[in-house]
Amino acid sequence: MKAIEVKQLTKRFGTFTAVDHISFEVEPGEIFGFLGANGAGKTTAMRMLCGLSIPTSGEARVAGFDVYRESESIKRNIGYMSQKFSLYGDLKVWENIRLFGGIYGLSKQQLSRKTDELLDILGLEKERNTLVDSLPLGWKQKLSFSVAIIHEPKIVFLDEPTGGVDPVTRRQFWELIYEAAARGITVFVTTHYMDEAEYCNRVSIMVDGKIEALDSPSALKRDFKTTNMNQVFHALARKATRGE
Amino acid sequence: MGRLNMNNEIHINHITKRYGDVEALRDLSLEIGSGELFGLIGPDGAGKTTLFRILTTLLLADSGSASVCGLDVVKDLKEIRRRVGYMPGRFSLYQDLTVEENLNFFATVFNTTIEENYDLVRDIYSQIEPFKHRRAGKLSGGMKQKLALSCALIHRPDVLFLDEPTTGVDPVSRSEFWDMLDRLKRQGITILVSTPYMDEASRCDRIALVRSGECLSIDTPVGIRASYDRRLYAVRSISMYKLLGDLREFPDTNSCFAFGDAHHLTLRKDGEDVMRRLRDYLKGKGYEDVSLEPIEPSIEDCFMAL
Repeated sequence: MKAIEVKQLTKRFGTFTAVDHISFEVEPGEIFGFLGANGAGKTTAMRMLCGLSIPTSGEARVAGFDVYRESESIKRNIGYMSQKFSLYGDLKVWENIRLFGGIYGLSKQQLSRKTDELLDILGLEKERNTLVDSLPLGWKQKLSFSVAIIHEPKIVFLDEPTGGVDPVTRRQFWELIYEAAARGITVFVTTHYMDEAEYCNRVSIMVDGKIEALDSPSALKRDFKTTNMNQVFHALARKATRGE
Repeated sequence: MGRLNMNNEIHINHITKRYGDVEALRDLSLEIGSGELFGLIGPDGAGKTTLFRILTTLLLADSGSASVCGLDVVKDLKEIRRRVGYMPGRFSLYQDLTVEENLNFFATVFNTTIEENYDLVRDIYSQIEPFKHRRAGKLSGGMKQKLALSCALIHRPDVLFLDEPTTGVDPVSRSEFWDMLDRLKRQGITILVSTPYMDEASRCDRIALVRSGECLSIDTPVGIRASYDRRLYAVRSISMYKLLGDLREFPDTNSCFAFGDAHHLTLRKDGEDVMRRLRDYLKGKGYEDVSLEPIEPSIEDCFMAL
């Protein structure tokens, strides 16, 4: 079974076609980079895949569940993290873990075991009772990612997870992503850092609501006769005609 | 206006600012010349916003002094406010006013009109003018950024402060934004701009690498790269993630980080002997395809080595 299966997926708002007949598949355990300029339709597509927005037409299955009829099952089988919203700043570290673990359906025993395990892996034991707002952004992001996969979902969606953090923390974050993928969790990630596109098994690039390219970074670089993903991105995104 | 002859310098002398136990700025000093495009490069929490707020007279330092255009940030706050434009990191325009109403508002506050200074903002504003009757709150990220820059420019400031104008913006829009800054710089405006994107450093005349409230290094981008004092190698193979772990376990490795399609490696010692041992070590780990080549450091390499 594919982790994600999308056929001709489309979303219109009035006369505006935000997502225009996109099709792709994501394999289990794959790190899939979902790239595109601001306004290309990435967020709209991602919301449909997470079961938060009903498509206008087309088909999509996430973790084997249909986005029209089984959105509640999808929500139980995915994790989601975005830089803009992730944790509650005015709750303590352990309270956030408990809250999200509870929402994701973990039992009391699972919760207390998971909390210790997670704090140990992240080196945050001393911060158990710290308010999340007073943690450095990099720690918050790592905690937020770990919480998003606390229920060992089949797929985790990451929406620009690394914006603004320092270069070392950004790399530590990707090591967490690799570990999750190695455990079999499928990773679906958007980013504006083109070096991070290189860490994905495959990437798609959206322009004006359509997927204009989809392949491994090395194949894309070969096709576009360039040595880095930044130039691939520029070559495609400069063709965009619609305003944001 | 004889803008080019004016003193549009920024002087920062031993500024310290604390919030409770947190030292946001630690004895920071910096001199920025008239007409310079100067970049503050550093991650979230480095103190960049605090510095902007002190220089724009919105916050008082605990100690130290600073001047903008030869004016003191404490005594001459009113005059400074007339002379500078400020684009805060958080979108701070009126969400329920339209694009045009926002620009008009800022022009009026500074006793001027859109028409009077249209030539300065034309380049940027013309891109959002088709949407001038749309409420600012309904604009996309890239358009909000262009409107905020237009509003910061409409009174023809001598110094422009831009706090992370490109955060969350895609690579194409980011590079277009820097093209706009180039054109403003040519008008003689001094620009202090902050960014967490290391690749934008090369677009500045000079940069300061900042972390935890301190300037770690101040120089031209070329100068900063030239001062990198280790030999740097790019290492590639098919199984990059495994390679990262194996390179870090090599006894003579000083540092190894993923950098897109290659790992950047520095060693504790240099020379043929170490390189031979490294090749043997990787062969022993089963790698047949490893490529290893010396490369020039990027600003990001320099930042990570500090």
